[in-house]
Amino acid sequence: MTRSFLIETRDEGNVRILALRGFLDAHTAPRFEAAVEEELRAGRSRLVVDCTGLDYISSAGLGVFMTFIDEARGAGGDIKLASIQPKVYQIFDVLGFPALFDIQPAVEDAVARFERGAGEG
Amino acid sequence: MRRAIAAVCAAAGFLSLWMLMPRFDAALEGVRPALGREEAIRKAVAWARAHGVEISGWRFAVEAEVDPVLARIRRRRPESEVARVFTPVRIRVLAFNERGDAVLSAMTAGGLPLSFLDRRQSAAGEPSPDAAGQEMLRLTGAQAARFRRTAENVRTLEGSRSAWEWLDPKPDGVLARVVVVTRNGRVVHSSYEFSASREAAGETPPAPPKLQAAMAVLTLATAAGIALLMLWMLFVSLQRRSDQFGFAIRFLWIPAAGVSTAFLCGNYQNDALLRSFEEGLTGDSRLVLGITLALLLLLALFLILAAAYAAAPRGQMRLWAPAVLLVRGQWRNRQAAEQVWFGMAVGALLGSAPYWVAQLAGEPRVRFLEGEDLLMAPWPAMEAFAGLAGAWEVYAVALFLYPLLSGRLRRPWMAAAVAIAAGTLAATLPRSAFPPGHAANYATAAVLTGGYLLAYRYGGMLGAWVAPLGMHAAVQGVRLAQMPAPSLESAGWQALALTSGIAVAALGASFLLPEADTLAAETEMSEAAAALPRSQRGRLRAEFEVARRAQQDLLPAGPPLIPGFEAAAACHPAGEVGGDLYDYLPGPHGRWMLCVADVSGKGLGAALHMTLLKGMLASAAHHAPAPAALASRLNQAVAETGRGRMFITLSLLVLDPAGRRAEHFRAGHNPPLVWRAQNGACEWRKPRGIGLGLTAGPAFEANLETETIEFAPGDMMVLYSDGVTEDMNPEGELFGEQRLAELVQRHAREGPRRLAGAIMEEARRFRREAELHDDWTLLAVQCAGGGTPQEDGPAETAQKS
Repeated sequence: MTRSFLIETRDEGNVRILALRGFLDAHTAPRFEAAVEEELRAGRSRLVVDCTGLDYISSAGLGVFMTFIDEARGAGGDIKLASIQPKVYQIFDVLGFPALFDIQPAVEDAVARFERGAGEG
Repeated sequence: MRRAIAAVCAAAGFLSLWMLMPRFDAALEGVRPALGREEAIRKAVAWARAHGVEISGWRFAVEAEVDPVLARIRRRRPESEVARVFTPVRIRVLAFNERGDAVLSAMTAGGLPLSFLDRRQSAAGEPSPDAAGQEMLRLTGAQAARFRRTAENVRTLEGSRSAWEWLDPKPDGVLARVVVVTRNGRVVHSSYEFSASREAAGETPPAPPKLQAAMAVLTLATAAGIALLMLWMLFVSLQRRSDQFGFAIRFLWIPAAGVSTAFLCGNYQNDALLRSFEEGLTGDSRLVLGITLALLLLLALFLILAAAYAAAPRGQMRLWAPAVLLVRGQWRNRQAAEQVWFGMAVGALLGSAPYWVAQLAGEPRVRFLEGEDLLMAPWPAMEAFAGLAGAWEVYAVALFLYPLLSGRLRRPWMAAAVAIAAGTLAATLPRSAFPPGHAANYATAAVLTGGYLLAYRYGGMLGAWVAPLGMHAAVQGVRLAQMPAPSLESAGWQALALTSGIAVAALGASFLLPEADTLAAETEMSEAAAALPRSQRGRLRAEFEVARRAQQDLLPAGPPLIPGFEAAAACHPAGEVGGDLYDYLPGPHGRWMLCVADVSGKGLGAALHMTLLKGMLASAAHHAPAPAALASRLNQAVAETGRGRMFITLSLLVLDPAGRRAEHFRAGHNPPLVWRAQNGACEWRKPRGIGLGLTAGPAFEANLETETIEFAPGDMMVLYSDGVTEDMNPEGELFGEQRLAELVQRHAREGPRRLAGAIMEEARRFRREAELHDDWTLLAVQCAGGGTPQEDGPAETAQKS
């Protein structure tokens, strides 16, 4: 019954990409929380969460996004979501996340939006 | 099953402890002292008199010790000369008086003299020209002719030293040696000893040291592996979590921390442990062995404690919660810090108490005898105290029995009494050949056990776990203070510095650290405890039943009487308590507020927020603001109480029965479904809206859409929580919206009550043996006057006719 959950991190320019894979639920959310917190503590507030491999998200997983979004934006960055599977997007959508988070169809789009934002600012 | 695993673990723990701790009887193998305590004292008095020292009327302390090499020779070659002359047991009699004079004599189990040590403050007595030679004759008796003098009046710090040896390789390859030290023509120290090679002892040739070490470590690793496996089984059976393995492994750092501390304190060379493991395994590997043995000892202790935890009644969980939180990595945990410093303090008090008592009672102190044991004793009559300070079996027995029994026996003190009695017996019975002579030791063991219980009762599991550390530090401190000239004996200072450092750090931390949420841990532990033996499960069930009933009472007792409408709901929490809420609230002007809400998470935490929401809704309905304003107010309240850690999704309907319309908003909740009686079609209502508490900012209001739903006669609206659509069968298939819509279409004409029942029934059929993993709530409201409910049809027809 143990469901796997993996986080892979990489950099694209000065944007940090966190690629999630598997089930983000009450058991695995603390790991994701720790990963995001680590990024923010290290001063990396421009985050893109790549949800290509994310198969399921529960309310605990959604809670992680909520917990850090204000902090990331306060530090001049953002947490953007990208490449969400339709099934998972439905959950985000029902909750009203699209109104609160920048959700992009692909990681490149999300990175580009950071760069454009930086260019404007 | 779980009870059986806990029992097996406890048995394994005690068995390991039994094998690891030295036992008097087994080591003696039937060669208990032939003398009683009084006879030994009489022999000692006579022996001292032969040296011109009168010790009758002094006070005495008697103990027996075992020479493992001699024990082995005796076992393997019972017919040999060594075995006949020497018994593995040596009886030591310490005589002391108020002036601080001391005479220590040792004899064989049968009473033949073996050694003499004179430590009088002012020595008097007749000097004799050949005191050393006479002493040699006294010691060796008929064997004297066999000895060859190897040293004559060599000047040493103690006095002039003479020595004789008898090497007889033929029968046994044993070396007998007599050493006599004289000062001013008086014997101050003498000893008669045997040593035998391994070959003499009938050993197989010793393995090379490296191989020995490898074998020893392999053996111990196997034992440790078994212990670990058992721990794992225990935790698997305790925790219905998917990460039990990680949890159990993390729990192990608690014993690991104890081992490291013991190691740093220099306590790793535990001779008692080594002795019981000695056969064929020592050599250069002693240090490795010592550490490994200490590890295994702590593992065994931990196995026992874990079994106690598994079997402890619900009331004890409070005492374990800080430890469990630490295991989860929650270091910022004031309760844990409090437990640690309290445990240390209790331990230190326990360790130093006998010394204080001795001081206050004016007991004489005998300083600087040979060997540490007597120095460690607070006063000489407490011969076995040194052993008691490290009496892990006291610890294990007391801390296993007490949590197990408290709350199960008729009176609270009975558990403590049983644990203290058992601990005292465990400590004193196997530890000495002269049990009746140790009243002070019984008292000390009882106080020690009582102290551990105190540390546990008020300092929790961590307090009890660190109490021995505090005790060792205190004993080491006293020893250092008692030394004639304080020496920087490393182990003592290390122990003192390290443990007092930990205690002070914990004390500081208990002021600085924030309080941890132990309630959450307790809740989880009680969920785990739900999988425990039936008797406890019953009590736990009863308590949760109260919570469940209280929460059920918060839900409406029955459907409301709304003119022109009919409503019904069904709610089924996944745990004993749930985070789902539905409600019907009457408002002004005949309006009704109907809603379904889902608090993120489940269990007690979600249930508490659910009750908060219930209050907020009731207050809102009373003031009856516009739906949008109501949503905004709820959002603010949830954002404040949830602090970004939780959110609530809510679908709320303000129904105007007279106007047959409702205003609806959806705060991140699953889109409700509206079934139209006219064409039997379903539509999902999905106005925009963000979950309550997700943001405190204006984004909530900006994204909130309120819609109006017009009801035609027979139209049905179904609100539900995601537990309905995300219900999962054993194959992992979701119940889904499609199935829900089909069921609504099939059963809508039967009325809300039957519809809710039918959906619930179908969900149960779909789920089969899978457990409900989220709270399941559904509320249906139907505008009356459409199709006649089928079962009422015949009745009405009957009335008409």
